[in-house]
Amino acid sequence: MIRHAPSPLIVAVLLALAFPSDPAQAQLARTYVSSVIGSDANNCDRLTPCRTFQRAHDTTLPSGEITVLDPGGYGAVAITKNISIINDGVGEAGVLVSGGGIGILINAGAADAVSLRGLTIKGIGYGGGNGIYFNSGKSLSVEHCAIRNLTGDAANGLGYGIKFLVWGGSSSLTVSNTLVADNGFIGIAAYPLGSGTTAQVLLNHVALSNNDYGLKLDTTPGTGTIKATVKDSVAAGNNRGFHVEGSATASLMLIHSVATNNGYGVYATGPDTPPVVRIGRSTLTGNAIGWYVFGAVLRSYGDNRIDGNGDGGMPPLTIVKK
Amino acid sequence: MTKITPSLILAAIPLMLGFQAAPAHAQIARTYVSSFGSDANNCDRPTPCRTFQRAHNQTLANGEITVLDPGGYGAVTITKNISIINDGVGEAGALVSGGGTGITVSAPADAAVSLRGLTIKGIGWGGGNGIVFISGKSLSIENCVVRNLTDLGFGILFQPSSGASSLLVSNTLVADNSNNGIWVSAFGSATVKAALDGVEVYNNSGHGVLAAGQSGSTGTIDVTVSDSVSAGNVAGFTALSSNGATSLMLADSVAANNLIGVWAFNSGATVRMGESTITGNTASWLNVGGSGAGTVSSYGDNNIDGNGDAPEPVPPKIPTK
Repeated sequence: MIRHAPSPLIVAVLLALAFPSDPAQAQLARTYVSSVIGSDANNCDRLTPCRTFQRAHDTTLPSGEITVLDPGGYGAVAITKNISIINDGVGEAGVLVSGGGIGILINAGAADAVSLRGLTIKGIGYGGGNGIYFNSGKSLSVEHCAIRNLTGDAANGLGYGIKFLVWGGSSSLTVSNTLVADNGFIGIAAYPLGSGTTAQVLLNHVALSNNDYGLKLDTTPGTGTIKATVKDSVAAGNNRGFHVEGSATASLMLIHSVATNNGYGVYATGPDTPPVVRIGRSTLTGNAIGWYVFGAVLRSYGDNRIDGNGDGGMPPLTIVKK
Repeated sequence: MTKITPSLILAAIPLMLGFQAAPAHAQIARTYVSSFGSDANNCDRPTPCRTFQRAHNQTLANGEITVLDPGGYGAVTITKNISIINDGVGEAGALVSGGGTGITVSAPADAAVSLRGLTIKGIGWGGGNGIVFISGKSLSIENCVVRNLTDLGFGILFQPSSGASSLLVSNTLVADNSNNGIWVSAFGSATVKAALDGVEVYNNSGHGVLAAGQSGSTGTIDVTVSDSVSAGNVAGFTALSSNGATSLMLADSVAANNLIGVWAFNSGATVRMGESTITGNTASWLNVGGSGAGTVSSYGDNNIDGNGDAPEPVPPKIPTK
């Protein structure tokens, strides 16, 4: 059976309808989902859990939590508040994506922190879609998740594992202990839009594998800022491992990480003022091109292992450690 | 009828097996909590309790509370040597509101306390603190998440008032709190040693990691941070000395996107950094303080670039050995 992820518009309509049609059941600080005993006719408490993330979300108070009780598919969800969705090892808590939909859409308030833990989001074709789409909120934290196989037409904005947009102010994306693989377009992408916006990105123990782009940091849609740090992470088998594009307000610090078996290990390009990539204690190997810059600045702390790439491994200019 | 006094060994066997002794609700070495449990039970395996607090009260000193299934288990005040353990059965949560505290440790001076696999979240409504240590020999926090505490808003607050105590935090996430994420502190002459490893501290509205005694405290505070990240806080890693010496060793760690990356505040504060990264902060590192400059020193192998104060000052170097 194919689960079609609802479009954001449809989800928004459903959300708007959910409250007036359901006045009897008060919201709870902690809700539960179960594939065994859950039903969306329930109030999502421990004894009568709900069946889907969306119903549980709608029944959860702001700042509350959704607790996963057992393995299963819990469907796409549009998040509009401070909330945590937590699977702490009960088995797979999955979301399948198709029909150009979105697994987890975040349309939260400017002060809202959103946390996702232990989720598996997979595209199943049939029009593909996107895994996690952050549209608004203060911060998104993704831990112990797997996001893979999102496909679809990149020209129509599909095939993203995690798409992180900042429309105003500053928002933070932190991803740790997470796998982002086999996506048709970009594993993790951050785009500050308009002017005066900042995307703060931190990846820690993230594997980006077999995507078109592993990580793409791109300020060209606007004039905003990206401040990105990647630690203890791996980009393998992508066309471009770590990609930075835009102007001098885009920067990437790549520490203790690996780019291997990509078309380009690290690719930095700036149509305007040059973005800056700094690399320390990292390994670039097995890539067709180890690192490539065009109108960008790439600097090494002189302690990287850049060998075994198709381009012979010209050493980058260095900067001093302090 | 002959009265038989069981030997110590015989008495210990039923304890180890989790069987309960004669009285209806005697304490047992291992208690269990289940979200299907009831606090009218004795907390053994077939009849688990519903809350951490009831299980704690039913557990012998040096015993363990084992989590059986996902659920919210409420706040708990710990007054003995005990372990609360969720080893991957699903979320074992405690929600905090009304100015309360998720887990309070107020244990005897020789008690070791261990918390594993717990998720503590503030839900507003007056907020509160996540984990507060008042007394005990040691506290170990592993595989935990502490987030969204508001109002008081401390994630982990370690503040004994006497003797020597130690804190270990590993593989733990502390985020979105409205005050300091992890504050290693002390009152009076208490001394504290802390190790943080594999810790992520994000988006707290105070210091990410703060080593600082309370006003007038005289004991030393020593904190070592390894393989950890502090990002999006007001300050990433701060050592602050009031009277007692405070030191912070930062190894293989990252301070990113904070207002201040690393800060040694006051003359008794020392920060040493090796193989660490300071980037994206408004100010990379500072040693200013009201009572004189603190000391920030480097092993010469740190990545300090891309901050708002570029070209960043080069900290004084100390040799590796």
